[in-house]
Amino acid sequence: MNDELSRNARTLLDAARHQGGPTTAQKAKLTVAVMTATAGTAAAMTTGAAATGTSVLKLLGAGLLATFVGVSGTVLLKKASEPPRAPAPTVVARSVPTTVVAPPPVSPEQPSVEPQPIVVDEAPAPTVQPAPVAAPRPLQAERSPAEPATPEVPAPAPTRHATPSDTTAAEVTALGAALEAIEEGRPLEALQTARTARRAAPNGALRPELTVIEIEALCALQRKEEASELAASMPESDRTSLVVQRLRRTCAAR
Amino acid sequence: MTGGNGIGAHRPLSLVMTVLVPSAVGHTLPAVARPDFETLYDAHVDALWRFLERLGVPERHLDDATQDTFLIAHRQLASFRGASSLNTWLHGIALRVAKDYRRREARKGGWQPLSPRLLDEGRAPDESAAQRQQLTQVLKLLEQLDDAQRTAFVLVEFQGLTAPEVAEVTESNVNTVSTRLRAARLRFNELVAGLGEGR
Repeated sequence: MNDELSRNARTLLDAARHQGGPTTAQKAKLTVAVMTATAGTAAAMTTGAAATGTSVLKLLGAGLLATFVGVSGTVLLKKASEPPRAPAPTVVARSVPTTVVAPPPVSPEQPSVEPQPIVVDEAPAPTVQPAPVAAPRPLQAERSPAEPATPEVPAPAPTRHATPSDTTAAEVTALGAALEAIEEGRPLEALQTARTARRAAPNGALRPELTVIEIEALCALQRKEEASELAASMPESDRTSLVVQRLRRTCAAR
Repeated sequence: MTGGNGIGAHRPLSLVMTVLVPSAVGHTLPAVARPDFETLYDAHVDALWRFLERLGVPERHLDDATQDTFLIAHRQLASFRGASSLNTWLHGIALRVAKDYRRREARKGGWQPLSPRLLDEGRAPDESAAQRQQLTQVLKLLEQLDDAQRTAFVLVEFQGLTAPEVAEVTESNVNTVSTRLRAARLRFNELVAGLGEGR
């Protein structure tokens, strides 16, 4: 009996073999989601979740950009029918199936998303340890419990002090949204998102990445002069290898 | 605070993942060559996404399914004993995740094996319409294989696993895998021939 594929079938398979896969934006989001969820585990493993959270989130932003740079060359088509996404960092509201550590204290403000553990009862070789289900940890949970919800002294603008974690979480969200917008051909939206986030946190951890996206958006909007000015204003300390790599592909490249 | 806060100097993501090495969980690790989770993720994320896609996980759930796969892998990495290759092990996890998603979808009654958006959206412009059409065509053909055949076929033809590796992933014996693979190939040939006749 001939159990080989026919020539036509083989041709079709060969053509389709490397098709599909995640788009750049999907991969960036996935990376942030996975790293956030696993970093949450790490933060719970070690003490001082708030402090760890800040550095983890900084690095998540870098990871987001690294993912983006790593999959460069793939430009996305606009997803026309996809509804606009909420600015909230939905990636962390995803249920995390299980962890091997005790869940962090659950606050009444936690999202009502019911964790749906993946069925692992059919697991083969690897031993499946029944583990407690950890509740999803929203980025806001990184806030120190001691931090008041509103400042004691009335202030004109913010209703409460943003902790570094809050700021970085907002930056990660903004960076993800700006990346998606630029990739999907919405440079104006990308510009506004990145600029707002950068100005909101002028010393933010993801300022360099946000600036690069802003430059790209300006280039896409044919505002080369502004793009070049912004690129020139970037301090040397912001020019990390990933940033430079990305910057080289913009209209503001030196 | 100065403008350059020095953050850019210490950014490698591996720093995060170093924290995640399972030793932090308190397990005593056997002497098994085990990459850190970041390396594992980077090396397999695209392939596993495609695997889940070819197993029929709807496009809208692919990100969640891939995420679940890696979260399970992260949790179980400490207990990975090296009995199989990491690639085989990860495919085993992904297979169970895919089954779980398909079961859930079937329960909801909203099982749509192939996303109608697949053809038009989210794809690189350099991916030609013809290429996209080929992928869609293949996915449609795969839907017509039964689950066991499809799994064996996808693992071998797309993921590059050998029959013994497929046997590990699917927890079956090699003869069974070979039988399924043979049947899948025959069926796939018929389906492709049918495409030609339909033109």
